[in-house]
Formats: sequence, structure tokens, C-alpha cells
Amino acid sequence: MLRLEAISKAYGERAGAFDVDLDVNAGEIVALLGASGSGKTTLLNVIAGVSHPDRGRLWIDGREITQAPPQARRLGYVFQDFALWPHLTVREHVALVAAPTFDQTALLERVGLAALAARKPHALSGGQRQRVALARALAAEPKIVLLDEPYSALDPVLREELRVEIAQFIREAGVGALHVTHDPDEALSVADRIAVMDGGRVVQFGPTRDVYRHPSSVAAARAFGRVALLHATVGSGFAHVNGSRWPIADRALEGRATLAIRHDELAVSDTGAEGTIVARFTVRDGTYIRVRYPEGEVVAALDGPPGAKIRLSPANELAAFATA
Amino acid sequence: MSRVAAAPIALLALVALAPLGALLVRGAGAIGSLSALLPITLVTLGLAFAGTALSLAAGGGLAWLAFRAGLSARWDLAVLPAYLLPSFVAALGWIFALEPLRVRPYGPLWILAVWTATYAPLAYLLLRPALERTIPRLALASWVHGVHGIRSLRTLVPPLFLPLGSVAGIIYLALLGNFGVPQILGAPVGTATLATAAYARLLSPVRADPLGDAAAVGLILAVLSVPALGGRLRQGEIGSLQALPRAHAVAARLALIAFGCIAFGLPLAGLVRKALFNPYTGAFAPQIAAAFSYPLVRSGVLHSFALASLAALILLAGAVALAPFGSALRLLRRTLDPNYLLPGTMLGLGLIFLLARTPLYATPAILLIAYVLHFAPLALRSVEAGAGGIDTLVFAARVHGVSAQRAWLRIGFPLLRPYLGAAAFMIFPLAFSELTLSALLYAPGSETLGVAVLSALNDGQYGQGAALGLLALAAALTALALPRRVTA
Repeated sequence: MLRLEAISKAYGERAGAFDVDLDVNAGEIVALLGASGSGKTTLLNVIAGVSHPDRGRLWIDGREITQAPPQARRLGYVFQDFALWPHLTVREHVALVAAPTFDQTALLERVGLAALAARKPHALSGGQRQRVALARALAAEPKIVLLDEPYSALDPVLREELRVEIAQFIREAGVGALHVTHDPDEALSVADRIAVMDGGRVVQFGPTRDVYRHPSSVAAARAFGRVALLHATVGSGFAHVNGSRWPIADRALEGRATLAIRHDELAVSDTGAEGTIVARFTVRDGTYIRVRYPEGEVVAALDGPPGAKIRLSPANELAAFATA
Repeated sequence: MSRVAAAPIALLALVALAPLGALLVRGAGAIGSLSALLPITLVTLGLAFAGTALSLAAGGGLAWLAFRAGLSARWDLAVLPAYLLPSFVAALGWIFALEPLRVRPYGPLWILAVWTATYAPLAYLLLRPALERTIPRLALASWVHGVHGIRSLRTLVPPLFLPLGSVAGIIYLALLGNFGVPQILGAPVGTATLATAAYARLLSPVRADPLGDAAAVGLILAVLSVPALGGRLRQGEIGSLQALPRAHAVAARLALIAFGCIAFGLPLAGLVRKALFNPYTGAFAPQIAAAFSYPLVRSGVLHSFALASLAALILLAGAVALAPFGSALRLLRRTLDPNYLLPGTMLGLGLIFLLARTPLYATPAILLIAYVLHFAPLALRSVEAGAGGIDTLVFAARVHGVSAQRAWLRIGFPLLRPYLGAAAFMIFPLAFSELTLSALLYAPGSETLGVAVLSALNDGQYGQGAALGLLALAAALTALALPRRVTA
């Protein structure tokens, strides 16, 4: 459906997007995950036709649209602030972009807006506005829907409700979607595949679980947050941490390496590496401890008093990357 | 900006700035006569500085009181009419209001008084938002950390330097170019400023080179005003709009009411007294019909109405046509800003030098050109303010397959309507009672309302002058119909 080939759009030497390859299939949601300044917006602007790439090519549904104007690209777009038209009703939002033969009523019913069709945006709640933005995007009968941080203007409860529901609408419509977000939970909960962006480049692109469990770089690991970095000596498929051996995924790696350890990857083990608990803290999803080793500190979803000794081992092979 | 739009915009900007260029070229040729203008220059500078300081003190004081009292925006209406009152009409009103007390308000001090009454509201309207944006969070940060009283001035005052400096620059430019007040309150007692001197030299039958003399005045005005042109209105940092504990509520209300009564009520009473009542018997005897029996008055009002309407229409049409080209619109507005901010005398003289040998000279067309060039930044700025937020909404239509033309027709232009209305309500009254450009550029047969007022005063027809002043005032007050959020 959507294919980007070696897309580059630079703003100065460092800002922009560089050599991006990406594809989104019909009925699939791809999350573009990255921190602020990682190049997500640049890429979105190039796909939407706000700006043209310096290099590379884009296709939608097999048709090259690299230089096409926005209206010729067959896109739907859910904006971060919704960008609803204040002087138009819900139905007019849909009618303006829909083809004459498009069944507007059916769409409004499907997204739960039929009873609100005569209202203008100011008379709608945040969640209802979000649905109008989606209805407008789908009414254009797009091949691809772009979602630009679509839930950032909503409160956390509504955000969690809507992101599942809207992902479902999109899959039912059979269109592809590129969901831009900086929120790893959002990416993990809605996407079939995730592209991690850092410094203007896609540093990893693959199925959601693979990207989360097997990051290809420190940057890809850090994009999901909740990761501690430990600098250790590795060899023969193990990292040496305070005299113990922790298994790593890259068996060929030798010498100094950085281990990327997620907070849920360590468990108590009699044969594990002994460290000292230096802090204990509670956040909404549980209690965590910070454990100090000579190689650095890790965070684990465990409990224990500060000052106590604890032995930890990873449940799976850890991601490790050669230290530059 | 697209290359397609860049070329016409650059050409338009070049044409629009041509009068100021012509003035500078002609002024450079008259550089030898500058030394003779030193006394007038010093008087003008002294008055402009003093007027700026007084306006800032009065307007800033009122703004501080209103801010600390937490008065609602409705209280701005106490000072707004005084700002909308054309300054030459205010000067007339003061003369007529003080007449029964046998006070003749002529000379530098009275010029300063009327300027303060007219421009203190501008300082108030610009400084109050700056205070509201800047002070509350700084004050709270100071107080909760134990910094009180005089010590807190160190944290509160410096952040206001930028907005104060910007507002001072705006008022200074307005006073430097103000023609009406010194012409009405200064000329009869021999007090001249650069703006009135240019007018006097241009009309002088005894000068060998009136155009050259006027050009020299224009050149000095340019030198005095360009430094102030560099600043733009800075509101200080935008903080959270936290509220402070309210204080001095009664004093603030009384001060605003008192200012409104003096700055607007007094001249209004003077105009009403002179225009509607017999000065000797006190009987109701409106002068409006008598005023309109004079062909000069009829043609002045008619011309002003037609020119103001046409100028507003042309500018709105141009601004609408440029709205889809956001960066071009911004560039053009910035290029044209000097035409509005610099003293009108400079634009008027520039047009004379540029068009004196064309058929446009001494016709209403040159006035129309002058009004369009002078007020263009207001129209463009208004549309620019609206288009800033509308761009995304138009794009939201285009990205969903709607053509650019249809997107602007269905989304962009309808959403611009309030901003176009605001521009019309701003431009029409200002153009209708415009005096500086009109006085320099009118010719017999193309008089305007402002020229008719001056003429009535010269002929001793004060009642008719007052009646016309009331008419200008009525037009000016139509700007009160503007929604506050659009003017803010």
C-alpha cells in the first residue's frame, strides 16, 4: 500500500529524515516510534505532501506519488490536535471529503457519531472529536491513514479506550495505517509492526514483539524506555557481571559490550549475580528496585529494602551491543 | 514561498515602497537646508519624547491598576473610546470644552495633554496583556521564596523592559508623525513640529523651493523615526495565566472612569456643545445641516466615505487573494509595515515626489493610493493573524482529496471572515477621518473630511468644524463593534 524507498529530507546537517525505507500493507498498522526530534514529523510531512523529499521515492497502492500534491495521494490524516473545521458539522466534515456514492450514514454509525451528525466541533467532547477526525479520514476512502500522535490531546483513560477501538475501525476498513507516536505503550498496543526512528533514521523495523524483545541497537532498545544499560565484558554467549554469567543473544560478540536490560527481564536466582539494592520505588504498575553492580546499575520489577544484597539473573538472553 | 508567488510579491513590495524611496532621494538633494530645521527638530523631539513618557506613565499606571485589581476586559471600554477618537477631533473637542472656562488650550503643554489623553489608552491596551502574561508567575515565584516589597522590584521590573521599550517605540512613532494635534493646537500660537512644518512649507507661496524644503523635513523625520522602527511589539514571556490576589479594586475602577471622563467625555462634551447648541443663547441649534450646506463639506464627507470604502474594499480583496500564500503574505506585510508605522507625512511627501508629474497628481486617485499603501499593513496583518491557524485546517481538507481552490472556498475563506470584518472595521474609520495624508495630497475638488474640518477652522466656522468632528467620531466608534478577541 505505502512504500518509501531511500527517502531523505534534510533540514541542515542533522535534522530531518535520512535514507528511510518503510512499507505499510493493507489492513496493517505500522507504528513510527521515536522521541521528539527523531525525524517522525519530517517523514510524515513528506508522506502527506507538505514537503517533497530531497532524495528517494514514495508509492501508494503501486502508484508513485513522490511529487504529487496532497490531494492526489489518497490519504486519510488524523491530526494531533484533530484539525477539525469549526464552522462545519460532523456530517459536513464527512461530506466534504467523501465521494458522492460513499455511504456517509453507515460510516457515522460505525464510529458512533450518527446521533451527533448535526453538531459542530465545539459541542463535542474530546473523544467525540477524535472520532470525527477518524471518520473524516476514512470518508476520503484512503489507501493509507496517517495518525500523528492522535491521542496526545486526550486524558489517559480515554486514550487507552480509544486507541484499541480506533485500531479496530482501521483494520475493519481494510486500509493501512502509519501511526506516529513517541509513546512505546501506544506503539506496542496498536501496531502490527514498529519502525523505531532515531536521529532521522529508521534504526529498526519489524514485527512488534521482535522489535521490543530483540532490539538491534542501544537506540532501538531505549526507544521503548524502561531499560538499563550495563557495561560488561562478554564472550562465548555470556556477559560477566560481578563474577556471574548472564546469557546474551549475540553469541559472536567478544570484549566490552553494552547490555540493554529491560525492567522486566531480571528475576531472583540463587546462582545470579549479587548486587546491592540502592533504591526502591513504586509507580502505578508496581514496585521496582535499583540494584548496583560494579558494571553499573539495573532496575528490576522486584521488591526489597535498600541496602540489602540480592542475586539476579535474566529470564531470557539479553540484548548486547559492542561498545564503540 | 513558491517561485510563482515570489516574483509578483517582490514587485508589489518594490512598488509599495517606491514613495519612501522617492522621498529619500529627493531629501538627499535638499540636505543643505537641514541645519535651518534644527529648532523645529528639537521641538518635535522634545514633544515626542515627553508625550511618549507621559502616555506610558498614564497608560502604564492604569494598566497596572487594572491588572492588580483583576478587572475584566469590559473595563477596557473605559479607555478605548479615547483611543478611537481621531486626535485632531480630540484637539477640537478640548478647545470647545475649555472655551466656557475662558481657557485657550494652545501651545506645547496642551499638545502634550491631548497626546497623553489620546495615546495613554494605546499604552494601556498594549501593556495590560504584557503585565498579565509576565508578572503573575514571577510575582508568585518571588513571594513564595520570601522576596517581598522593594526587593521584588528586581525580579518584576526588568522582564517588563522589553514590552515597555516596544510600546514606547510605537507611541514615539505615532507622536513624531502626528499632524492634527500640533496643527490645531500649535500652529495658531507658532508652535511647529516637523509634520506641520512639512505641510506649511509645501503650501507656502513665498518659498523658492517648497518641495525641496518639505523633502528636507521628510528626511529628518526618516532619520528620527527609523531607529524606533526596528523594535516590534514584545509581550515578554508567555507564562501561565495565574491570578494574583486582587488589590486596589476601587481605586482602579475610579481611575479608569476618571480617565475616560477626561480623555473622552470632555472633548465629546465640547464637540456636542459647539455642534448642537447656540454658543450665545445655549438653545439647541444643530450645526450639522448648516455644515452640509457648504459644497466643500459635502464633497469632503463624500470623498472620505468613498475613499475609505474603496480603500477598505481594495485591501480586503488583496488580502483575501494573498491569504493562501502565507509566507508571501507575511513578507509583503513586513515590507509594507513602514508605510503605516512611519509618519504619514513621509508617505505623503514621497507620493508627491513620485507622482507629481503624472495625471494621478491632484486627483482623488492619489489619495486612494496613499490610503491603500498606508493601511495595507493593517489588512495584511489581520488576515495573517487568521491565516496562521487556518493553514492546517485547509491542509486537512487537501490531504483528504479536496482541491486547493475548494479547500479555500469551503474552509479557508469562511474561517477568515471575522478577520476580514476586523480589518474593515479598523481601516474604514481610520481612513474616513484621515488627516495627515489628506492635508498633503488633496487638491481643490478632492477634499476630504479632515481637510473640510481644517478649512472650517481656518474660516472661523467652529460649529461646523465641531459637527464634522462628531461625524468623524461616530465613524471611529464603529470600531467598538469589533469582537475583543479579534483586536487583541
